[in-house]
Amino acid sequence: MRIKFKYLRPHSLDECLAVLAAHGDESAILAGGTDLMISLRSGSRIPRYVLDVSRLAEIRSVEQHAELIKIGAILTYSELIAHPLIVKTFPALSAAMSCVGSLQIRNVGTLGGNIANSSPAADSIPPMMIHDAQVMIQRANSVRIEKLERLIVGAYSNTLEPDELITWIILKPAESVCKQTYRRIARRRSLSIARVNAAICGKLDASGLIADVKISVGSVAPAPLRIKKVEDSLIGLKPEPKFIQETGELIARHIVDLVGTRHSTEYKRPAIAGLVVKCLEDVFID
Amino acid sequence: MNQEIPQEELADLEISFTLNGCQVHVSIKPWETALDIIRNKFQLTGAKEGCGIGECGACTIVMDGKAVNGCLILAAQLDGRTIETVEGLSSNGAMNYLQKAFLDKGVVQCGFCTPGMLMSAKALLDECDRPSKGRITNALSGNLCRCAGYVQIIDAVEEAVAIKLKDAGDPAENR
Repeated sequence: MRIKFKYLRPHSLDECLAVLAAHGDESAILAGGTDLMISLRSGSRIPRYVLDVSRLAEIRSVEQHAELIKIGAILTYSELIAHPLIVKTFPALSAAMSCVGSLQIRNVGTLGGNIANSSPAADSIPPMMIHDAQVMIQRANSVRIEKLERLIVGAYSNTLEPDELITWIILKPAESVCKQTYRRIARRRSLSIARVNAAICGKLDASGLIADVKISVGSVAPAPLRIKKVEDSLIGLKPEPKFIQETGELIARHIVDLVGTRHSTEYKRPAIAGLVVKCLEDVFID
Repeated sequence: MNQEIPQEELADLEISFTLNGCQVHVSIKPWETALDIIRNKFQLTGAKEGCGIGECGACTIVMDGKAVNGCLILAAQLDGRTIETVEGLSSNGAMNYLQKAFLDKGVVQCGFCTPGMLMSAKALLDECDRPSKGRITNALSGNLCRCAGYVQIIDAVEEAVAIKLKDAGDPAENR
């Protein structure tokens, strides 16, 4: 027996925000539906209204504003992976989006939906975090811009209010000399959820020392993490193989210290270290 | 809270869309899925419900040229869209080139995944004349086959590519 609800498809962003203002606490937002449809089927969500935002033309584009790129929250993974500016500017994010679900999922799933769902293992979050991602969130008469790391506060948990809608994702492109990478460990390539995933972006200076590095690791804590403490400690050092190995282990230890020892720690500690080593090699070696 | 929804809010919705080349108009419940109405209202039972949560691909249909899971789409979302199902592949009782290639390569064992496989392959070949093997496996990776017929399925899609290029004349012009 399926749960019953009313389906609404607002024709404009304003209309959508007005519906949220009036009925946000009893509404579920449908963008790609790849998570919501499963919740509706299982009965874990019982909204009175399902609000289909997938056709809102106002938030279906990619825009370049000076130093930043704004991505409409309801663009699908497939649309973004095919977008020349996205592929060129955010190769790690593009690689991560190519790992999401299956082609059928990527053809409807959205970046905004991935943020709103706030899965600890979301593929797109770490590669957005290395671009200091900010999320534009709108409600009827106000807008707030929140850092992605602050928006997601735990597993499937974020600071979104019932009357708010994620409208844009704002990313800061890396300098063109920076290299970016995304890697994941999962049971199989398609339709599997990452056990550990990581995105790293960085560059070397003229003498081969680390001049900039951003590291984000997912699936290891209630929310994907930026490892800023370790990032800072790497600046000015030479990325030799032994050092990269030690850095992988350092990050794994740092994460275990942060989240505590769990049943999965014995597997995850070396898995994190190994994955981070590979990512650092992608960025700093060859 | 959900129990208290007034009846008038749960009224049927009227939607129109293109289904296998025909304009259709239908009355649906807001909570019905695309798969529900394609199977139950239109009696097009090629698309199957395997898992119901977007993991098996047996319900794959093509919406505006893209393969999607019919179980993860609300029927209401079909409004204004162009939908293709496996039943739309043949014309006047004659199989299309993809179906012929599937038959020729002995793809079908139990057949449950086949309509979904065909539709994923169709979306791919409509978009790309000469997909690489990697692109083919990527396009089919959201479709599970529990009879383990992947080798034959990929062979069949490769053969379909060849048939399509041959039917279209000089392959060099088809890039």
